[in-house]
Amino acid sequence: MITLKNKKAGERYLSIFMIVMWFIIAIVIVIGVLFFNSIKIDTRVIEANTLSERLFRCMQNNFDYEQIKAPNFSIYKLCNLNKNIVDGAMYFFNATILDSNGKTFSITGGNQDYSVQCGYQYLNGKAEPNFAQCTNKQIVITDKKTRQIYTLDILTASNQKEEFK
Amino acid sequence: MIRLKNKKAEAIDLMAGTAVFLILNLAFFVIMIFFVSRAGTGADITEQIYSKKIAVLADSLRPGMEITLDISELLKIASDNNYNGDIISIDKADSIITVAVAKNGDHSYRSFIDLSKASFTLDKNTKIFSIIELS
Repeated sequence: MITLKNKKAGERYLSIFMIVMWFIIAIVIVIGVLFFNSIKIDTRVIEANTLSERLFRCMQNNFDYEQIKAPNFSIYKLCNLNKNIVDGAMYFFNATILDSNGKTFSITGGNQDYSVQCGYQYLNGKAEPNFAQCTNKQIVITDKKTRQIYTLDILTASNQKEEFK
Repeated sequence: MIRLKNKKAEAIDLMAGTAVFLILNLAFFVIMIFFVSRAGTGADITEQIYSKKIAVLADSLRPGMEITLDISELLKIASDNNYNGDIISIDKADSIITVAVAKNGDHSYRSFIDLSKASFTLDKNTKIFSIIELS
C-alpha cells in the first residue's frame, strides 16, 4: 500500500509559483505599454529643412545685397522668424553670401555650438542621433538692383527634441 | 472503521485558500484592465503627434497661405476622455503650440516663426483646424 503524504502541501507551493508567473506577465505588459507610449517622434530634420527653405525663400525674393549688408538689416523680420526661439538653444542658421570676387558676407544666429556638430557630422558622413540635425543647401541668386550674381549657402540645424508639459 | 479527523478544519482551510486565490485573480484582472484601458486611448502619443504636426505646418507657412488640418481624431479621443477644455492652444508670444485631449497632461512644441503674425481657427463642426500666416 502506497501512502501519499503532503498532497495538499504540493498544491499550496504551486499556487505561489502561479502568482509569481502572473506578476511577471503583468510587469511585461506594463513595460510594453510604457515603452510604446514613450516613443518620441523626431522632427529635427524636417525642422532644419523647413528653416532652410524659409530662409532661402525670403532672401531670394527681391534679393538686395546692399540692403542685407546694412547694419539695421534684420533677417528675423524679413523672414518672420521668432528671434527669441531661433536665437535660443534649439536652432542654428548660417547664411553666407558669396560674390563673384570671392568675398563673403555671413548672417548667423542661434546656438553656435551646432555649427561644430554639423561640421563633425559632415566630415564623418553620417548623422549622429545625439547631435543637432543639419541641412546645407546652396542656390545662385541675382541682385534685383545690380543684376549681379551671388551664391547663397545656408546651413541650418535643429535640436528641438525636448517637450514640456 | 475509518476515522475522519479534522474534516471541518480541512474544509475551511480549502475554502480560505480558494477564496484567496479567487481574490488575487480578480485583483490582477481588474488592475490589468484598468491599466490597459487608460493606456489604450493613445492620448499621450496622439497629443505628441499633433503638437509636432501643427508646429511643423506652422513653420512651413508662407505669407497669405492657409493650412487646414483634419482634427477629427483629436476630437474623438477628447470626447472619449470626457475632456471639454481647449484641445489646441497657441501661445503667440513664445510660439508654443499645446495639444491636450485628456485632463492629465498635455504636449507642447515650439514653432520657429513669429506666431503673433498668424491666425488660428478651430471649427468643431467641420473638425478642421486652420492656420493662416498674415502677409
